[in-house]
Amino acid sequence: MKNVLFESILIVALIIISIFSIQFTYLDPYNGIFTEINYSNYTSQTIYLKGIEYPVKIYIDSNGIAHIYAKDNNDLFLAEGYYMAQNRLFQMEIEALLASGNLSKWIKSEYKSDITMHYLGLPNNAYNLMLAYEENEKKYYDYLLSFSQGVNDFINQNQLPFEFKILNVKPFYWSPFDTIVWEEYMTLYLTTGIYEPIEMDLFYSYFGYNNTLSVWPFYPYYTQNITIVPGDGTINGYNLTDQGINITYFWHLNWFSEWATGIDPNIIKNITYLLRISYENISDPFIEYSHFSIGSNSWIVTSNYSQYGYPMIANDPHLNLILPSLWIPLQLVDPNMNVTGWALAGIPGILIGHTKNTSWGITSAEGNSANDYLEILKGDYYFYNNTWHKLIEYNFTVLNKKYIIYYTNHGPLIGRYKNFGISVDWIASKISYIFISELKLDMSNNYTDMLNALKYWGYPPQNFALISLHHAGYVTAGYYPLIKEILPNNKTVYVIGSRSLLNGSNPKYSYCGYVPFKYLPQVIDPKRGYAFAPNQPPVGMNYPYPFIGGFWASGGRALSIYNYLKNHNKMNITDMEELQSNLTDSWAEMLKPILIKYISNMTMNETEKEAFKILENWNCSANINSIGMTIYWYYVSNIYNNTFFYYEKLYNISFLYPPFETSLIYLLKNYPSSFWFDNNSTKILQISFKETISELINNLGNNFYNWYWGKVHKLLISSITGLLALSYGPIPFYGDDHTVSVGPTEFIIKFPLPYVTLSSSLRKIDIPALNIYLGIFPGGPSENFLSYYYMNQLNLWYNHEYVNYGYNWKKEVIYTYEP
Amino acid sequence: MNLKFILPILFSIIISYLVLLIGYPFLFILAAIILYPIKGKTLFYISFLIGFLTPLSLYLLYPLDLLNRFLFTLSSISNLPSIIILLFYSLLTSSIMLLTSILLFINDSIKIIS
Repeated sequence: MKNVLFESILIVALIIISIFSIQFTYLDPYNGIFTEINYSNYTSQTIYLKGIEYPVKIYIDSNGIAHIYAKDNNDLFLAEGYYMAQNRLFQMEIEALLASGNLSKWIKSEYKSDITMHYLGLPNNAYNLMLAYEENEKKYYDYLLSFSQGVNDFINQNQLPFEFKILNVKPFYWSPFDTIVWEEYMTLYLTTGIYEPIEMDLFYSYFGYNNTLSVWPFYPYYTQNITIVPGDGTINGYNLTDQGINITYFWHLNWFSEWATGIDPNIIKNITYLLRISYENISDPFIEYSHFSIGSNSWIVTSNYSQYGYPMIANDPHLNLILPSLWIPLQLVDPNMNVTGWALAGIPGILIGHTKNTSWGITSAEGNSANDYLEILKGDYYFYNNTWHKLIEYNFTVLNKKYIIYYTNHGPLIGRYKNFGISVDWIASKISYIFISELKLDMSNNYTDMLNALKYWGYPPQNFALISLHHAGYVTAGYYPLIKEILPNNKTVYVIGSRSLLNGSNPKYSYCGYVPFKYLPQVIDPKRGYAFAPNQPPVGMNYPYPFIGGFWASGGRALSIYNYLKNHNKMNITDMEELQSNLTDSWAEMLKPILIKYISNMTMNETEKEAFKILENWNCSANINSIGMTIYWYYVSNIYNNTFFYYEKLYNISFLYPPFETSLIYLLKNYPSSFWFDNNSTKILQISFKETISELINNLGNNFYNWYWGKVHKLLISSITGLLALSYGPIPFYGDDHTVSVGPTEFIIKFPLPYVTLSSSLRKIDIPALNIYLGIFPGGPSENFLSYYYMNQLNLWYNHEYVNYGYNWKKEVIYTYEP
Repeated sequence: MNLKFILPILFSIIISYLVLLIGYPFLFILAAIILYPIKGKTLFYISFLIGFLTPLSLYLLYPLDLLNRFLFTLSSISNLPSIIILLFYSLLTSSIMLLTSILLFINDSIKIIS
């Protein structure tokens, strides 16, 4: 009896261990680790694929760039899908889940981001757009299907990447919906106008019109005249003045007024709770709370201004850095196209790249492509055009929990409190075939081809830097929705966006069309020899469709680029590289003398005197070894703490993005007794300096050599899995928010500062006429953390070096995809 | 050592490696059954050692830096030391073999597991 019991226990134990052991096959030295290590190597092989008609060759060069050669577009995109899945399946799937509001499925607990995605309508928009492709653009829909087929062939044929085993999840089959929903997510990432009017209204509610305007002017201080398109804003002979409107009058109007928004400003002051909950509802933990920090650089040099007599282009889009990178480097070749550059993982084609005759780059345009509306609600009804309409219900589930979102005619209600609600009208809910635009760029042969391609580009509006063999220019392409405004002087003008919520009940404030392509900001071969687009206003104040909702970058990078280009007639490739790695903070150059003046006469102890000298002699460069940079940053942080942040904390709105340093400079120069300084800027600045030195001593010690910038300013490129072991850094990093080689962090008293997680997501410099194509990005093509190609270009990127993205490459590995 | 001992051990080792190629660790039961001719405590020692050393020996085939990175990653996920991660799978397979051999020993018959 005893034996039987013992045997039974042993059998049960054996069964349990046997079942348990199946869960850990990824630890199996052969099927687990060996497979992972084997996948990490690129080895030449032949793979049989369903759906391709002719053999496709893929050559991997020594920099890890894949060169895909096919006989037609369908085979090409199928092979691209397979190759992307081979290298990025986990990333693609997690991104598609994130964008479609389904990430909870994998995480297995409710994830707030999922609800946010549905609040903003991403899955719904993507589904409608997919149907539109299928119905109206069959050829391009077939390309999307081919790409999906390639991804699914990989899922069917191969062992899954390690991450799937760890999470114990299975991949879902890819479809055009997943590609489109990821495009929508990237659009959200780069859209202006959803968050900003709410932020401005909160500012306005607590600080009033003058104080808000003093820190958030319509056009950034000190850079009003260095717009993308040189000149006063006239486009194709059309401007504001021609409409009988005086520019000075126009830009001095109060755009928070009832005539501009249809809402009594006192109502805005009474709905701060609604503003807060709406903002919270659409704040995605995957995206920075505010969008002001997203930026990018690009510039073009015309034939006349180039040492070589041919146009040149440089571009470095700033995005959150992750491992693997959002980008994957590729060349796509078939009889219709020969394009090299970077694709977004999950999206076929090449988004930023070059052909043999053209090259283009992208930066975010920052003008409103969305608007927020204040809606009047009663039960299931909203009030519009003097009539009550039934709210439209949209149901969705997250982990079996049901949610309902209500839509007005403008879009989804992102917040509701009592009889008010806030809805978002976002152009991403309209139909725009940006995939077509992308492919037409990929097939472009000259400047006109590129312009025609951009006519398909709907959203997000982007500044496209374009060069061909002999021409160079810019187009800010995309749908800019227009609102018809009647000014206090009874003149009518069509404006882009708003500073505040608009009255959702009044049809007057609904969209009434888009800026025609002909009048979008654009320039070709500018006379001065160059143009640049690091997120500053695209056009001057006389633009015929004024950007009321323009939430531009501070202009620090624009000023640095402008100063450099202005002083370097006959630019060459070395100049282009030097400018792309420039670490001068233009706002520090302007602010430092003011700070020095304020504190030069104050009583200081010996350490403070020494620190003062270092600050005074600092060259305003944010290089890793700079001690002056550290003193400056913490000093400005303390000033912010004692001014802007003090008030933001007071009203519990610290989540808002802080005003730029330009506002601080402007106020110190013009209004030293401003409300923000509690009427005494001298006292604030002197106290802040003393606090700074004391904090630096306490945290970094008395030895100034330990105060170097890289000690407190570090880069962390996180793995998409969130695992530190698979991440890069934290390591000392250069730059700050306003340097061309950007390394943004926060004005905060922390040692070290919050890690830099956003920077140049790729860098490129091209001269197609000379067959020069330089590029680099912080990562590699593979998501396999054991692979050399996981981050093969990362160290070069860190050191501002480049690799060849042109046509003289060395074959390392050959994949053959056979039908 | 006579053939009665050597042959079962040899076959058991071969089966163990084959099981590792197939990827279903519970099949280590078969590798233990082969050892049936060996009696007593020796059976326990040998079955445990084969179950433990077979997977461990395969780890030696891989580049050390990649293996380290792999283990470091798993270690950071699980908050367990790398050495435990390294030994974990071997301990699982050795436990399967040991339990099987104990069952064989107790019953002195293969019926018990059929």
